[in-house]
Amino acid sequence: MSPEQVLAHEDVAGKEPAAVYQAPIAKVREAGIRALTFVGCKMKIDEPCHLRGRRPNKMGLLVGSGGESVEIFLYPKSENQTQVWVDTDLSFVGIAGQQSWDKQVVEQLNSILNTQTKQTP
Amino acid sequence: MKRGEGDVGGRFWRTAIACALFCGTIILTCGCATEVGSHTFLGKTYPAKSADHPIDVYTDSLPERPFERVALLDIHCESQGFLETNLENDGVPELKRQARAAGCDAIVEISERKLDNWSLETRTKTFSAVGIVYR
Repeated sequence: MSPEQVLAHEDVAGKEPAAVYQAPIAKVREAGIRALTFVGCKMKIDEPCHLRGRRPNKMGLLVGSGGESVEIFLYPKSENQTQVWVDTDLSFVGIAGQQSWDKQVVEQLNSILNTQTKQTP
Repeated sequence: MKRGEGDVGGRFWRTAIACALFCGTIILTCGCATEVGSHTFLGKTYPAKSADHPIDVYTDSLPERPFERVALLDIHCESQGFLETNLENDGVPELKRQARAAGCDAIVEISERKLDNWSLETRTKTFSAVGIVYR
């Protein structure tokens, strides 16, 4: 997915970014992969401007939880500024145990990128 | 009806119900654990190591021999039942898998990451570590 395709995507077009980071897109993409892992997603799409992870379906106390797909869209506003949109899609199977992970993903991105900023002299 | 036919049918259903209850109890109390992981290279990338490559795990110290930090390893462990997720049984195997994928020889600086605002999830833990290669 190219930067132009990101802006035209239905989950991005006409919506405010969930976050804007003063960091190059490559750094934000790396943080995105980590954030998706932290919320339990297995990576399905790993492109420079688009990440997609899926939480495995589970059985157990919460029968049928998992199954959500979480997408991160990245747009390089400039060399050192990246806009981010996050979108969770619920699936039919196990929808009762599913939830949106947008907020948690943005919190993890904030945490990772702030930490990295502090480590940089 | 022949004599004993009702007893056989009743026994079959009692056994089937007992098996269903047993399986349900196992699922509810144990469930299944899922581990998801990823790795991020800190600089240059390294080729993956073989599946049986030994990975040293340093939980509270660093190797005495020279080493280089090459990758951040992140994992998410989730147990669905009443069993507590723990680093040794659930975390370390996935950390080792990620370390091999990142071409590492050992794992250091393991930390547990706290996640807030979680709902509908039970027994979730995430761990981060640094993968190293010996020089």
